[in-house]
Amino acid sequence: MTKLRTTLGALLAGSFLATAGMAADGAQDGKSVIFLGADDICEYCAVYNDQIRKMAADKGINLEVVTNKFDAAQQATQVDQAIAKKPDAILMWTIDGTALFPAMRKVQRAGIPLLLIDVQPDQAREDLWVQYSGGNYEERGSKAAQLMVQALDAKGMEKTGGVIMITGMVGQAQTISMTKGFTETLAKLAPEMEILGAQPGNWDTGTSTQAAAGLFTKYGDQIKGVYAAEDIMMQGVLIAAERAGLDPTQMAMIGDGCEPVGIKNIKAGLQYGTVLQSPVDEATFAVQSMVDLFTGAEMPKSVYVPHPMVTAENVDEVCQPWPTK
Amino acid sequence: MSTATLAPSSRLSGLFAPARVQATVIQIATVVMFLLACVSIDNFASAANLSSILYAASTVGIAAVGLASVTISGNLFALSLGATAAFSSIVFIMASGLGVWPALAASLLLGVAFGALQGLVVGWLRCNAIISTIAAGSLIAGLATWVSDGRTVLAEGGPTWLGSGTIVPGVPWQAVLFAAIVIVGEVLMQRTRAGWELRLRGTNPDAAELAGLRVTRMVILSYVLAGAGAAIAGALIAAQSGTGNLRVGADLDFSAIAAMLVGGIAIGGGRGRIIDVASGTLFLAVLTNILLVNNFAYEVQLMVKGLAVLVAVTAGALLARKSR
Repeated sequence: MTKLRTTLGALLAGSFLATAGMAADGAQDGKSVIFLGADDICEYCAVYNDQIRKMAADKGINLEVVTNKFDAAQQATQVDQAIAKKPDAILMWTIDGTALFPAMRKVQRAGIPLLLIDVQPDQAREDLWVQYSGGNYEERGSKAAQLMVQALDAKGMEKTGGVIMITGMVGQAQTISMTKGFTETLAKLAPEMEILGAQPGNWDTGTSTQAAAGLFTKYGDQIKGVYAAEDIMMQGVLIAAERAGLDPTQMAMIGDGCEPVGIKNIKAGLQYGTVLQSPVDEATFAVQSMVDLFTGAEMPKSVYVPHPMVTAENVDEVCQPWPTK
Repeated sequence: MSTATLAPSSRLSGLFAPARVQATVIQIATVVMFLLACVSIDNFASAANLSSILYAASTVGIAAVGLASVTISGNLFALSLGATAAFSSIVFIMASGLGVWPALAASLLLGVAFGALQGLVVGWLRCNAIISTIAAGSLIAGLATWVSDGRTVLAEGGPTWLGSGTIVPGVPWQAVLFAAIVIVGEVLMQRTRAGWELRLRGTNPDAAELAGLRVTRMVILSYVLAGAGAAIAGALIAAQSGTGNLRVGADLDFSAIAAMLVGGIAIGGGRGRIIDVASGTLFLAVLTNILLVNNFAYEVQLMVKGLAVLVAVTAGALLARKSR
């Protein structure tokens, strides 16, 4: 009897969940979401914006895309405008995690669910948002350090000597996290290696060329490896190395992002490795985050896209070409 | 007293005349700073480091020379240089399969076209120069995004001789091009009717118009030169990396304005020489390099550069007042 009751109970519960699931499925149809993102001026952003538009449309979500040129003050104003439109949710690529906390609080007070992507602000304030989906910048820095050690082993070089870093913009959450991940992991894996110097490359090839040229002039032959926090910045490092008469194939050159120029340099043997951060993966995760919100699915506070390490051996397999329009 | 003894002192007083004192101070400061760095910083005088300074100076300097014609003609600044350079870098790489010269010509044509458009709006339609160029910058950036889909464009063959070649160790071809443009610009501004008209328009626009000078044509010409300068700068940056994208020239507007004003071009128009723009550019390039080579923290670099620009401009103003 007990067994029969249990079986019936299970069947009832199952049919209820199935019904609820069917009701929830498609709950995102017609929902309006305002996406406050970064301008197409950055290649990664252009691919991301294009993909999220298409994927949200496929799921029936009305996504309004509002962008800025990496201007936190402008984004704060855009948050006010978005709140006034009373959307079902706001999806935000936080240009500056710290500076936008007051804006996030406004969204919370307005009772609008806030989903964050790409840049994860200080998790101590995670009560302000429902979910963060995107990259784990500290992990990316850590993977870059692992790649550097792997490169030194592969090239038969001792794990001693100096390393220089070309970072993103000073003060940005992603710059701080990537630098932390890289320095801490390198200290663990190769304690005899020393970080000689670091300069911002501001996510730009030209600035990175100048920054690396200065460090090559100062440290020259002491440098065994270079970590550039983005492949387009590594391109600048390679230009500076060539001008300084240094052979990049005899150094551990590590970039990040699996960007087209990085893929080209890895295949040419000029760059040892990179770490994947795919705009397609990120857009997929962001759309899933919206769907989960509207269907009432369980939502962990942080969901990270995968960041596999990439070398010449797996570059074709892991670094898929970014889709075109 | 012979003329031979008078000439040097008169030349010297000319250098420190109110109109020239800031430019002279910057030229002296650049030489002193360079020489001190050569003797006190290891590897500063190496060919690789010198070429690094010249690469940085060439791109900013060429854009600043073009911009100077707008400022001297009395229209303050063109704030579309960065967008023009970005679009130009994309066009240069897209056309690079045809060879360096056709690609450079395509970029130049683009800069001239957008410059002429802004010149017509400001010179002919008499629209506000700042607002017009900001709007033009937005239009150009939008078109560049549309053409490139916001993606980085890669050259098939990588950097070209224009991007990485040197005429002698330490002196890249880009620096030769910069020097040539400075010489041509200096001659155009100092020795031709167009140059005089540009300066007179900057000194007193109403008087220039009443005097029957070719004011509208000169304003259009100044924007054409600014567009051409920004386009060449964008092409040179693209040639260095073998890539073109919308990030190219992100700091170009500010860097070119700073180089030009530090060099001694009067913000109100009418005063300053193209050679001064070159001095201002080299001053900032050497200073930036010294800070980088010493691996100063970014915030220290910002403070020192800001302070140096402030001291240079203040010293020029004070000396000019004293000389009056």
